[in-house]
Amino acid sequence: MFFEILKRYRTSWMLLVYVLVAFGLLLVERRHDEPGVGVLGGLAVQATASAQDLTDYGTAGLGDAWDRYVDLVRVNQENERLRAELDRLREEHTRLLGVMQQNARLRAMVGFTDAWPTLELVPARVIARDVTSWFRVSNLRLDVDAARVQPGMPVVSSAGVVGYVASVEGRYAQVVLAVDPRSSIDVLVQRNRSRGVLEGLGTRNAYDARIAYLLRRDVVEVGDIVVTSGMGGRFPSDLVVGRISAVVSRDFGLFQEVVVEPAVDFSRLEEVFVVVGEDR
Amino acid sequence: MFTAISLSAGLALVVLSSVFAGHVNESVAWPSAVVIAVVYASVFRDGFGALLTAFCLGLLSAALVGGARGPMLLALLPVVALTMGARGRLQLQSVWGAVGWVVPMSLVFDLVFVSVMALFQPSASVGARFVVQAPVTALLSGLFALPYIALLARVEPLLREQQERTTFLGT
Repeated sequence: MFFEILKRYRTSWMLLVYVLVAFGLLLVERRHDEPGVGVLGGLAVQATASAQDLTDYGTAGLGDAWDRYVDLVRVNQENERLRAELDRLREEHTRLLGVMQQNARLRAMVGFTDAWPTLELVPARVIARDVTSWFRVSNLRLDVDAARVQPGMPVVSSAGVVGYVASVEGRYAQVVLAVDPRSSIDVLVQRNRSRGVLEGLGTRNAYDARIAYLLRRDVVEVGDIVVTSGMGGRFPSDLVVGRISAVVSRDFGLFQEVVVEPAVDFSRLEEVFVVVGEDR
Repeated sequence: MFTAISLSAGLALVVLSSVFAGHVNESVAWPSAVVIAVVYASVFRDGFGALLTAFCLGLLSAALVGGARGPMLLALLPVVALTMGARGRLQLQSVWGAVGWVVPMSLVFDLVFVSVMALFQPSASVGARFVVQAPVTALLSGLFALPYIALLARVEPLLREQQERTTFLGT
């Protein structure tokens, strides 16, 4: 009977209990300055605090992972930036190396012009090389005085004789190198003034030449310097042509075979002079 | 049984909310989990269930915030009364209806709570924070109420159907 009544009016008594407890707690808490949570409240706080510790551990782990990810992204961005910087510096280094090498070549050319004040020189730049197996020809772009350059004029570099101009087209000239089979330059062995004619061998893999018509009785040695003789009027005298790299002496015949390694490295030739005149 | 379900879900929500609120800066507004749970109970339960839920969750919430059990219980009382009074007229017994109702009820709860605190415990100055935080709290409560109410509204009919089937087979 009591429980039936309790059940029937459960909302009403629940409301009554609710209001009474609420105001009771309100009054109790008003008397005490320090708030209280009760025994059950204390248990709830402990349980929640434990859960907070767990989630704190989890969120700290997540936070660390996120920080690592952010660091990784930053490192990646910095890596990209440094790679770009490295590429730029490499390119700059290569360019500066080229400038330094060009500077050394130009210094040598200036030294050459100082050493040969009697020669009128027109600077030119090598723009292409003929690499056929039979002919050794270079194409030049003339920097100045293109009108003064004529076919047949000698071409030299700071290292020595390069060849002669075969043809001129506007600002461009074609040069037959001293190692071309069609080239023939009157030369002397500097040490004993033995005379011969330098002819290109036109070999496939080397820029070698030989001295033809060098008498067998002229004693020459490997390492002897070969210079132009000035005969024939094309090349000025005493320009370095190369050095003897091999001598083949036979017991018969008038002449001996001498191979000359050119003083000019034709494979790396970049700047040259065209000799347009000479003050004798 | 269903009162126990909504009460348990409310307890879980309040505890979880408290746990995660511990990781948030106290100046940041935080959804009122107790209002969400009490609104749900008031919409979908009878008066006894709603009052019981409000009573238990009010005491728990007060314990978790370090006191003020009286103001907490008193502030939840109008939430229960207004929700039960309005649920028939405003057709709150749908997910969106209940979720939308959480927002004004959160404001009512904060207003009553602050008023009671001002009347009975003037030393606890919470009035200034009410103006700033109550609207944001209300909006966040509405936002967080959506998954909670949608989940319970989906689970409870399944449980009810299962219970009816068991009862039918038992008889």
